[in-house]
Amino acid sequence: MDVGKAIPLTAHDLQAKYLDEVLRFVSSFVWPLADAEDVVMEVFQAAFINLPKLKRKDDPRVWLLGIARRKVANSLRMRYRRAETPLSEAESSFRTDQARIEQQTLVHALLAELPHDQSEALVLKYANGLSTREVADVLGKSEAAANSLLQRARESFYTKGSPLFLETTEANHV
Amino acid sequence: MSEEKELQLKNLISSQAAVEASGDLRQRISALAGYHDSSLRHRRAHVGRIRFAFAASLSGIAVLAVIALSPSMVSAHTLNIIVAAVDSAKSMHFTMVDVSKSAPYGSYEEWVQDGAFRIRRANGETTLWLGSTKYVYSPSAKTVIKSTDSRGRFSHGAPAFKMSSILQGMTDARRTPAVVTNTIDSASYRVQVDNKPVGERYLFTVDSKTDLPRTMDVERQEDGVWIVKAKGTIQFNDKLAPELLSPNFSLDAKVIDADIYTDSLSKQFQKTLATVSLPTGHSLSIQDAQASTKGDVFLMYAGSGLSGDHWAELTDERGTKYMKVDKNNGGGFQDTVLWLGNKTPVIFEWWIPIDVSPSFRPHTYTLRFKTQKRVKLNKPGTFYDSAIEDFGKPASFKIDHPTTADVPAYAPIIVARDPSVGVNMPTDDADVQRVTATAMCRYLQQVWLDKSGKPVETMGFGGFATYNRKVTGYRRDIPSLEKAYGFANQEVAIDDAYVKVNGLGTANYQGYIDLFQISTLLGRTEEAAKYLEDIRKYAPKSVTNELRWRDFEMSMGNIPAKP
Repeated sequence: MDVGKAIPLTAHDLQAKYLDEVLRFVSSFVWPLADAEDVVMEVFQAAFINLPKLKRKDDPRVWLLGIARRKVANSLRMRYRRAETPLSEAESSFRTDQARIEQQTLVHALLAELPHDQSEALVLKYANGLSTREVADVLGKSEAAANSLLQRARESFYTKGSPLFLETTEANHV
Repeated sequence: MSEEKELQLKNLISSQAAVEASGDLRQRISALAGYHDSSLRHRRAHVGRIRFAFAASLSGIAVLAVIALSPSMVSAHTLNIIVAAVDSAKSMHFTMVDVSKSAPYGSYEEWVQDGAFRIRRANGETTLWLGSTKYVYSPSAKTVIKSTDSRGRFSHGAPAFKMSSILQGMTDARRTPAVVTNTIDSASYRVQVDNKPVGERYLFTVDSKTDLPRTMDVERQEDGVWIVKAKGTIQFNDKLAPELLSPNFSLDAKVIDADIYTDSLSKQFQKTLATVSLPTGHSLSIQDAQASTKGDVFLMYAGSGLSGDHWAELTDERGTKYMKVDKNNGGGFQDTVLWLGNKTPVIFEWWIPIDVSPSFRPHTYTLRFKTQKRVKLNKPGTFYDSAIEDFGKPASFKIDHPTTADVPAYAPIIVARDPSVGVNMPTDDADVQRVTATAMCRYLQQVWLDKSGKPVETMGFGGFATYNRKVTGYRRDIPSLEKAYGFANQEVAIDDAYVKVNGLGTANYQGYIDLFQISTLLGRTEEAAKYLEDIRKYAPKSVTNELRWRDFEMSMGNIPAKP
């Protein structure tokens, strides 16, 4: 197989296989959901234009998440300049269960508080289910560097989100 | 413990992410994918495509300028501003895609090469010009309407692709846009064009060497921040697939030669059904009158002397009034003029009964024309239209049976002959329902009562201003407003379904304006405030500015203030 050749993947294939995946990543950083959907739209717009450049050796999933990563970063930069929607209001527009909302809000807040590359690594690993190798590819790092980043990210999350873990652990002991 | 903790971490992080894309998002991206797959297929069909880099003579198009000036869709007026120019590209392929849910443009794609021009909308409707021959393909009606426009698509000169030509085109159209140019690097620069009247700006990335734009973002300001609403990409000098610029559409589409068709219509119109006179003494002959099973009336009348100062009025023997469908009330097209063989102009109109009749009944109809007397003001050369009206001599005619379910067979054909782009005649039931609901809603909003309680028809905002009447009586017209409210809701629902089916960006904001105005008039201020938010979200700035009129009315105490 000529790995340098363009991959015979259509735009339809791309969206059918990876739309949910991209949304999972984007919605971890951008909310409310309507805003996340707009960012996803931008991701696919960029991906479709560049689809002929995708080579056989490239993993379309990693490639797409790489684009998503840049689009999310752009969107977050914009948000600093925008009047932010109160989190509770934004969340309530698409999540209804109160307890779940509280937990999701807290996780969102924790992710937003971590250094961005750490939260990216956590979302790629745990929301998108990527292997450490794939996380490294998306972030443009070596596998060792990604592994180290993930470790730091986990530690930061455990520290900042300790009440979440304590409650669960205690509950298990009871 | 560590594994257990990591499992908890995984659950927490995965639970906060959206699990599945909504049907709406899936549909929007699918429409986008459709475009790219189709253009990719064309490109793959021409592996050995020839690039004409730095080519000399040019047929380009100021379509980019057209889009910039009228992003909602190209129109006859904007096409007329195309500037003659010799440019530096032999072909162009432009793709415009809504990237935001609130983008009101509708995705479409254009190709230009060797004087041929093709535009395809997201729903598959396609218009193709080959010289002076125009083809309009409608996938829903399964027709290809072929007609001749002696002026041709590029009658105003060869189109211009270069950024400098596009900007010149805008300046010539007296838009005098504010332009900011920044260098990105040695190979490209960026041009920002502000279109202040509609609260938008366009950002072009331009190749420094060729001066050809490569991308175009359409942005709107929201909460003080510019948000990208639509993205355009432009490719030059790819040799376009021959099938793109040939009149081969779907095999099951029926090809109709509109020129032959209108010749046969002109024979049919030899007989005059009735003659109606204008207040000026000119007369018009009614050549054709048809009705649909829903009770809509379609008229064609010929003659001269009709100006914009005349308003037609259609009623029947039961006193039912009819509303003319046109661009101002959701019809999406103007009265269409059909030029018959002897150059006689024949005007086509579509009328909807104001009292909704569930089905057609035989009626005797009366058509008459009126005009308003002009009163000279103290300031020299200025006039206002008085409320006193002059009427011409009416004409009566009878329709015994309906001849169509939706619109007459000739309607889409003569509308397709219109030299402009983007003029569509609804041909299926859903489209007709949508137009009907919109027209009814607009009409019912515009029925006001004057001080004596007499109904006064206004022409919207401008009409209201020229009547110069203190409108206090409209509250007595609540039943009409309730009806209008029902129609406005219907309009929004049908619009919403329409944009979803056609993969467009968003519902028409006009429906929200209707709901805002009616709920305000009905005193439902909380509801009105909600619709006002929708309008501010979806409508261009020029429209939201217009709503100051409503604020003015509120401040006058004529209608309740916002909560």
